[in-house]
Amino acid sequence: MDDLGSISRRRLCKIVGAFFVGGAVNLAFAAAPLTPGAAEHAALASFVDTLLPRDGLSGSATDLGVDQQIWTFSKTEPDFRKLLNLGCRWLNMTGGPPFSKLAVDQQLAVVSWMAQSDWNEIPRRFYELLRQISLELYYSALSAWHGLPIQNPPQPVGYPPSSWS
Amino acid sequence: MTDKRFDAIIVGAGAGGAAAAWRLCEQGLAVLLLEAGPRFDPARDYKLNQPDWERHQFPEPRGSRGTFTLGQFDRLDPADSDLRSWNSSIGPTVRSETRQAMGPGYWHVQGVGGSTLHFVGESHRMHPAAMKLRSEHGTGQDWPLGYADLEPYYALCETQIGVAGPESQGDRWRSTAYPLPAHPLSPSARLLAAAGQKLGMTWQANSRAALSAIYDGRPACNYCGNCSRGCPLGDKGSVDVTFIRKALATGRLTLCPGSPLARIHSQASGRIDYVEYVVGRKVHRVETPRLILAAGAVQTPRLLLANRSRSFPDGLANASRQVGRNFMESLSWNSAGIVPGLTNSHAGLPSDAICWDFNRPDAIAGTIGGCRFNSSTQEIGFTGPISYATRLFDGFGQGLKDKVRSSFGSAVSVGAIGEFLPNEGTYIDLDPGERDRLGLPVARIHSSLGPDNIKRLRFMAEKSRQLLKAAGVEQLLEEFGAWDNFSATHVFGTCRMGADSKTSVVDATCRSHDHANLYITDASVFPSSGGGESPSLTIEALATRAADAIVHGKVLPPSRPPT
Repeated sequence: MDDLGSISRRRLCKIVGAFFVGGAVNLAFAAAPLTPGAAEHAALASFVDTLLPRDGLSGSATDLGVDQQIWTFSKTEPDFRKLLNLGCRWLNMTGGPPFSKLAVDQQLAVVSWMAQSDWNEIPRRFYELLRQISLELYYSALSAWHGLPIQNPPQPVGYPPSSWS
Repeated sequence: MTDKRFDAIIVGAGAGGAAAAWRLCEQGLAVLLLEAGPRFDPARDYKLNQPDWERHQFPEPRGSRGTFTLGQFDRLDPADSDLRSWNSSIGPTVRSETRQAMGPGYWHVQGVGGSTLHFVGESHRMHPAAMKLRSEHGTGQDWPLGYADLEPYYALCETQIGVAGPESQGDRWRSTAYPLPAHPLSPSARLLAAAGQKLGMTWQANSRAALSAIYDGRPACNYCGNCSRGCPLGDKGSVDVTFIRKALATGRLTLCPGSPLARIHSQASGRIDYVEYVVGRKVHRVETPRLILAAGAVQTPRLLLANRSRSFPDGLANASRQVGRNFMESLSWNSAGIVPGLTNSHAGLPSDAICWDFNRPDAIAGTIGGCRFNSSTQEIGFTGPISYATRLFDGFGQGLKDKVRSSFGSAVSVGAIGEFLPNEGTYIDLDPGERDRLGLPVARIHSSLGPDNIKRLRFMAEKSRQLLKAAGVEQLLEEFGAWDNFSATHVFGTCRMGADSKTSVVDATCRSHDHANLYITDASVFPSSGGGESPSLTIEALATRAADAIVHGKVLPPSRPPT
């Protein structure tokens, strides 16, 4: 579980900043109150688990607390919070039930569409930004590394040449 | 503090300041070393023993980066879009029509150890011919000294650092062997070397400021592959564990971190008589018989330009009007992909293999100025799962998790760094709209690539792609370079050295033409950037040579090439 220490948090801020300067995403229509409710929390949890599902080797994004870390981070980043809330609302307004109530294949279809949509619109920017942050948070946990050829951080042991030469 | 008398004051505890401090102290001089930034504690500040280490670049506590602003960068010509930066995960990484700063743009560390704290640790000598661009190729500038003049100081500094290198490096002849044998090549480096052979390229072990065996009380490298995030072992030859440690051991060095310079005072005669620095809110004034500036190619010209006076209306050391001009930045390229079947490419020493074939100034057809290629797999971060997931693959879901698992350890990247020829659009000046907390104007960086540099960059990109193809990469997955990114790590040239006081700032011993007791020992004195050589060793060689000139009034005699 990441504690969003100051250095890691600064890295997330850089990622968010890079996405906002990467094009003119339109956040101007966000006039409505932007306090997340249960529906937004459920949407984000399902969204990050669609990005990173549980399998036989490692847990899902929510198993590793990724969604909770994202909400924590959003409290100090107004632009990110706005995009996060707008994206979650959009997920819940695709014409059917809220995103978290969709069948898995329907959730996959929605996220696949987002991944191909216009870079300058909310769904695409939400997808790219949340994907980047979720992957960073997820793979920061040792429990996500099952199935990888590394099991420990680089130090203090390193990789002695006998292990690779 | 201010009651103590010093033989010299040095500003900046990076490569040049530290090496000068050591050489002066070991020869009996009392030195005050002022450093604007903090002193780092590797055990506390470096995070390589944490599961989230990939999210931690080199630490950036308050004061650990100098203040600067950026001027307008080049508009990107679509005709050069083959040089665009991109990756498979998010597509183009620069989506604007002008060149953009990557991160801060100027990557450096302000602190005890300077940028050697986050450098990978390449330890390079300049190519002899790269120091004669003007006389032999009609462009750029000559150095006022030659390779033979620097050679004894290269050897001296390599011994202090414990450089590990190969038996021979071609034109870079040596008077002595490297102190330590070269490091074993990592899996990705071996692959690149074999691929290079298919293309007729000669790859060899890189010379590295990282210990291949226990040396001088420091441990050997354990090949974790993450030098640039800060080495917690102390085997990397950053100057905090080499020159500064040795200078402190003499008992003659007074080291003051967190002490930015506020003022340099010169008498009308040109003699520097005192400086003022700030600790907290208190201003300290200290007299000095000699001042050595070693704050780097951005901050050193800024300090000189900002300390203008009635006697020196254009700033200090600037009768030539060359202070701040001739800025040279990092012309770099990286291409990466996956080689099916390769394992453990995350392990080993970063930049452990190098190809110098195109390093001579005339080695690239159609342009003057060379380049080098190196293994960059670990250097650019393919050492953990976050980089694989966020840079090499698009998509999501089970497919993405499976790709990360199946490919981890099989990424390969080749990097290239080339000569940067200065032009009218590359310079440092003072930003009229920005001042630091001490009230001094901040440096503003202007850089423009120009057609020569773009031509060289294209050669670097095309050769990198050929190399990866020969290595077995079926599809490139990431490329980034200097065409659309301003991402300078090596910066040079803003107080260049030369024999003529009308066209240069310092002489061949790094002494100001205008102030007899002012020296500059950082990369701002480089008349040319070299063909991709990393600069720290040359900075250290120049700094120790300047220290000898201060102490003895003369320097070591030139070495003779072996017959």
